[in-house]
Parts: sequence; structure tokens; C-alpha cells
Amino acid sequence: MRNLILTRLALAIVTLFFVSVIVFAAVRFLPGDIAQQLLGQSATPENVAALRQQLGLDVPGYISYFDWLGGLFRGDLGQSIATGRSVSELISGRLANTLFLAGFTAIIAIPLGYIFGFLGALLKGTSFDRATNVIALSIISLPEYFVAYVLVVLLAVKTGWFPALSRVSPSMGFLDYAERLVLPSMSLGFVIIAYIMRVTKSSILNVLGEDYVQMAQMKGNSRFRVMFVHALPNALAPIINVTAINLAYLVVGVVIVETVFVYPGLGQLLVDSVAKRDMPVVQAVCLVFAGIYILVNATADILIVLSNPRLRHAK
Amino acid sequence: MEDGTKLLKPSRRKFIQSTSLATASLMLPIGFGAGGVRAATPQRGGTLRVAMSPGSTSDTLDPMSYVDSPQFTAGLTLANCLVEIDKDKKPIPELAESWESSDAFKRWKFTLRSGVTFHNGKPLTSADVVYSLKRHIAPDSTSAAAGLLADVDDVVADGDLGVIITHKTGTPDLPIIMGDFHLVIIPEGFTDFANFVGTGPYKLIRFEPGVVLETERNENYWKADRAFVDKFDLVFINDSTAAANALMTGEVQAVSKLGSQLAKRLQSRDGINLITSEGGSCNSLDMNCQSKLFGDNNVRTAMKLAIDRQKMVEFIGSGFGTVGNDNPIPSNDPFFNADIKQREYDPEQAKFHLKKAGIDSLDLTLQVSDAAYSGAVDSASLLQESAKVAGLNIRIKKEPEDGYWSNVWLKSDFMAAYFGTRPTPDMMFSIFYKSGAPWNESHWENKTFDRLLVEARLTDDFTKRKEIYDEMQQLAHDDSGIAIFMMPSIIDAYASEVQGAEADGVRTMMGARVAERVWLQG
Repeated sequence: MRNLILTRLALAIVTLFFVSVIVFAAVRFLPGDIAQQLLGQSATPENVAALRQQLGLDVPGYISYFDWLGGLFRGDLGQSIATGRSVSELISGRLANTLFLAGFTAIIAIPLGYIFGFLGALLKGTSFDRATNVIALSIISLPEYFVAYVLVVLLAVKTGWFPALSRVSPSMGFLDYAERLVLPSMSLGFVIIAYIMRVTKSSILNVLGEDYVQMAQMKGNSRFRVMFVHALPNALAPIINVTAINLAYLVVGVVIVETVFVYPGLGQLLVDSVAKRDMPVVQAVCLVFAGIYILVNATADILIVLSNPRLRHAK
Repeated sequence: MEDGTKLLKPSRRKFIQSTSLATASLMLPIGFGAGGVRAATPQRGGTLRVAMSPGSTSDTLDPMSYVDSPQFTAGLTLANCLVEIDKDKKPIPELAESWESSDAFKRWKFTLRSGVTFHNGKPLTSADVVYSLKRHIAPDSTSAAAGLLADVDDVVADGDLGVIITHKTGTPDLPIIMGDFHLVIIPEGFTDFANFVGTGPYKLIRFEPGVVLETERNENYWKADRAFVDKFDLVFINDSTAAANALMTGEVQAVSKLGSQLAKRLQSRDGINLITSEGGSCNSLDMNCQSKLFGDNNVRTAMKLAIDRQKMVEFIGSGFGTVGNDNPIPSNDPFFNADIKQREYDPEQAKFHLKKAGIDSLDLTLQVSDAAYSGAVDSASLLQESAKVAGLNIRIKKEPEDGYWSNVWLKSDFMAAYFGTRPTPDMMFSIFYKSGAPWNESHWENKTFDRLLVEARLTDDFTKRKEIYDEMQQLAHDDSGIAIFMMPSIIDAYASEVQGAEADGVRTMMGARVAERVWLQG
């Protein structure tokens, strides 16, 4: 078991290293240069040349990569080229916002997804099952910004129940903060509930068709017991997987919802920094995203192994 | 975003029907809404929140880094310039009480107002002005205003309240230049822009780049009849639908530069006033005069005649805008030449000019991206249709928005572009039309034009200057490669409790001075 975790961690670090190389190279290959982008349309060539020199853009790529990597090991993410502020300071507040929105949404949406999935499996073929299926499919096929706009029109513009913008500030109390997150988490939550529900339901139904489950039923076990004690452990792997993917998505894939609700999260920071070719920030945010993605997936893998005796005691 | 905005988009048929109405109502030179808004005496108090874009997490409050209206607004909320430009583009005293020139406009003396203090209590002196201005003209300066000040030789203090500015070639427009948004005055030696200190109407509480600028009224503000609200927040909202939603739900009381389609939807809504300002920017198709293709003015003229300008305004601007006449000087400028005949869509005449160039039909490629102006790609399709009739076969090459200004602009032989109107004809012409100017968008070279440009600078008499500028506008209209087909309106939306808002010939949000000019009706 310890070996498994250690291997996973080692692999994660190697993956992160490759990601860092790819991100670094990709940023270098973006069209246009940062000095031009920073100064905008109104820059003179002399302006641009002066800024290029100030920023050290004339240094070859591999040298600045190793400089950056060295800084990383010292815990120094460098300074934003565009603002001169320290990258870790820029990222920390935004990361907290992103994690808060993700956590807030996950706590509500993921259990709901499970519950609807189980109910769907238990009540297979009933009108409840069909209705949730139709709704889930429609939500999955709608782009999230559309869902977001519909929610804004209905719950903010027409009724005025919730604020249309998620402007938050550090001085806000928890309840204020949560109120401002309702609409964005709903826009994100719907899709997540729908995905998790469908995967939960179908993987349980798959297992319910197996011989050993029928055996358990014939032994006279209650439906509830058959489902949770006999079927669920074997249906867990896909459910853990879809949960992990959705958790990762909540952190790295929400930039559109951030834009619609003007929520200051990491996604917007990344988009702005790419537009300004602010390499240190782009690299750092990509690494944070990659790190979270890898961490969540590694955790899911480990949990899947733990949940399955055949894998747990593999020879 | 296509599906997301559908909610707020009318159907195509309805859209066409209503555009003709909107165009009709825009025959009046000043936009609707401007009339009814000027109301009684200003009131003190309240919090005003204004939504603007673009805002970015990489913004700073350093005046050298300002690039667009939100930053300009932030600057003029927290600080002042030497000179204020009023809504009719006239220079009026701000931190400088008076100014005079000598030596053929080469030497200018500005006298500062006494008794003005910065937010930190430090009194304003000429040393602050020298420091603030010289940052932009230092040889290694990265200021966006470096180009504007390229001909400024030196800035020196003359006693506590006198500032002498010397100009290499001399210009009567120096006071207007001093009203530029980048030239706000900060204390001598100041570099801590995260904790900005100025002399402006509002003091900084909190600045979170790309999110919000929060300010509170400067109780010691030296302008007695300005700055009415207690708190002023600038909220950066890049998604225009989100900004409109915020206005409708009362999260903000004003939205800058509303898109024309959203404006049409909000136009009839109670509690919202639209204020349209004309002539703020030019949408153009730029032809490289040095290229083989457009070297002959006949071809350029043919292209100008092949644009259906009326349709462009209807479709690209939803009727919010005026038809361009290949003249960068807007009709509300005092130097506007009203005698130039409006160029209309005329495929026959275009063919005639092509023939004169010895060509029957021409295949060419237009490089375009919505980064150039909103609706640019659609405008290319419109042009494709209207120009085909004239024998001009246009292939549209859609370029990525990201990097358009560094990779396509000024480098392409035929491209879509826009530029914001500058406050004086001299600036417009020296930046975009003078031979060899770095941003001469069509690489146009005209000796007569260049000579007139210098001549106008040495003339203080308005009538004489106007004559010269008239001739230059005619030259630009006839010969240059910048086909300005449309000047889109700037549409600002205000909640009805906001009073005192007016159209402004310079910039959106009352020339970026919205914070100190409007008040909230209790």
C-alpha cells in the first residue's frame, strides 16, 4: 500500500515536470511578444525595445527555464511581468476564491448526484427515472454559460432573488459570500449533478445484472441491502472516477462561469495573463492547475484500489 | 458566446425592421437621452458603481501603463491633469490656473493653482509636475504617452508654481496635449502605485486589478462644485451581457461602451437612459499605398466606392453610428470640413476607376478579426458582397483576435482596423497620416499634406488653421489608403437615478471624468 502511494506521488512529480516544460515552451510559441502586448496599440518601437530589455526577454529560452525551475525549488514563483507583483501573492487570493467556489459547489452537487443516481437505479423504468434522465441529458447538452444566463435572467433580473454578479471582497462575511456564490454554483452544479447521476446509475445497474447479485436477491436480502452491500462495492470504480473528473473540472474549467458572474478566480487570471503574455503567471497558474488535476486523479486511483479487494491484494 | 447571447438578441427579421427605425432616429446629430438628463441642482451622497471594460488582472495604477478607458477613468478619479478637456474638446484650466506661450509656441509657461494638496496632505508644487511629466519623456520610458510627447524637449520648474515646457517644433495644441489621460500629476518621486496618491476627487480605498477600484470622496478636494457621491467604485466587467445584467439588477448604476445590440434591447427599458456620443472612433479598411495592389489611387478610390456604408452602420452598429467619409475628423470637431461630399456606394463609379487603373476585375485578400472592431468579420462579408458588383473579388482571411495588433496591423496590405479619435486634428494627422509616422496605417505619403501639417502648427488664427485643416481633410478623403466607412457611437447606459450625465466628444463615461461630474438623485 505504501509502495502504491509512493509510486503515485513519484509519477505525479514526473508528470508535473513534463507539464512545466510543455507550458514553458507553449508560452514562448505564442504569437506576438509581451512587450508589444503590454504597451498596447499605442507603443512606439523605442518603447517596446526599452521594455524588452527591462524584462530580460532577450535571454535564450532554456536559460530562463532553468532560472525559473530553480526559483520554484526555493519556493519563489517569480514576479509578474505585467504588474511587478509577486506571483504567489497574485495567485493565493484567486486560488482561495476558486477553491471556495469549487468546494461550495461540490459539497452540494456531488451528494445530490449520488442520491439521484441511486434513486434512478432503484426506481428504474418509473416516471421519476425517465424524468430525471431527460432533464439530465438536456442539462449536459446545454453549454454552461447558457445555463448561467438563463439563471441570471430568471433568478436575478426577473425576480431579484440573487445578485447577478458575484463580486466578492475579503471583508465580506460568510453568508454574504455564500449568497453571491449561489448562481455560479448552480450553473456549475447542474452539469455535475447530471454527470454523476448518470454514471452512478448506469454503473449500479450494470452490476445489478450480475449473477452474484441475483444470488443475493434470491437469498432474500432486502433491495436496499443488495444494492449497498452487494452491488455498490463493485460499482465504485467508475463513480470515484467521475467524481474526480468533476472535482478537477470545478477547479480548472470554470473560466466561462467566472466571466459571466465576474468572479475573481484563477481562470480569469490565467486568461488575462495569456493575453498579456505574462509568462511567470501563466506558468505558475498552469502548474497549480496541473498539480490539482494530478492530485485529484492520483487520489481517485488510490481510492479505487482500496475499494477493490482484488486490486488491493493483487500479486 | 453565440447561444448565450441569443436571449438578448432579436430575431433577424425583427432586427432588420427595427434598425431602419433606429437609423431614422439617429438623423439627429446628438443621441437621444442627452436632453432629458440634465436636471436641477446636484445632490451630495450615495455610492456610484460604474462597470467598465476591458479590465485585466495585470492592470496597474501607474499612469505610464494606462491603455484604455477604464484605466483613464481610474486615473482621473484619483488625480488631475494640468488641463481639463471639456465635452466640446476645449482645454480649460485644471491644476494649471493659466498658461501662455512664446517663441512661436515653442516655450510654454503653465502657472499652477495654489493651495492644492495631495491625498497625503503634501501641497502641490512645480516639482511634482516636472517629475510626473518627465517620467513619460525619459529616453528609456515605457510610457504609452511617449509618442505623444516625442517633440517635448524639456520640462523645468520656474519657482514653486511655475512650469516651463519647451517643444521642439512648437505647437498651439500643447494645452490639449497636457489634458491627455496619461499626464495626471503625482507627487515628486512617487512610485508606490498600489497605494496611489493624487490630487483627485476620490481617494483610493482598495484596488484589485481586473476586479474593482474602490474609492471614497476626497473631503479636501479643491474643486468646490464637483465630486458629489460619497463613494465611487469602478467595477471591471469584461462580459457585456454580464454588465447589462448588473445594470438591470442595480448592482451597478452605469455601464460604459454598451454593445449596440445590447443597447437596442435596453433602449426601451424603464429606469435606464442611454447616452450616445458620436465621433469617438473610426472603423476603417486600410490599404497599403506602398503595395503593388494599392499603389494606384484609382484602385483605392474604387475600393472606397465599393463599400456600402449605410448598410455597415445598420448591420455592424445596429444603427448606432454615423456613416464615415474617409475623413478621420468627426463632425463635432471645431475643425470639421463640412464641404466634403459624402462618398456613397457606387459600383459603376468604382468600375470606372478600376478601368482607369487598367483593371477589369481584381482578386484580393482582406485580413480581418473582431479584434479590429466589434463586428469586423461580418463587415468583411458585407464588403465582399457589395464589392463583387464592382469587380473587386475579396477573399476574407480571418485572423486570430489574439495578437492581431502585433501581427497583422501595419503589416498587412489590406486589413480592418480602428482608431480612437484624438482631441485635435494635428494629433490625428501626425499619428495616422503623416509620411513615415510609425502608425501610418496605410503607409500613405503625401508631400503637400506633410507641409500643411507643419504650417498649421505655426498658425494661431482659427480661420487660417481651419482652412489648412479643411484642405488636409480633403486630401485624406481623396487620396489616403484609410477607408473610414463608419464612426460607431459610444453608448453609455445610466440608471435613471444618475443625474448630470452628458455626451462627450472625447471619451466614454464623460471623457473618463464620470466620478466627479455626476450625482445620484435621492
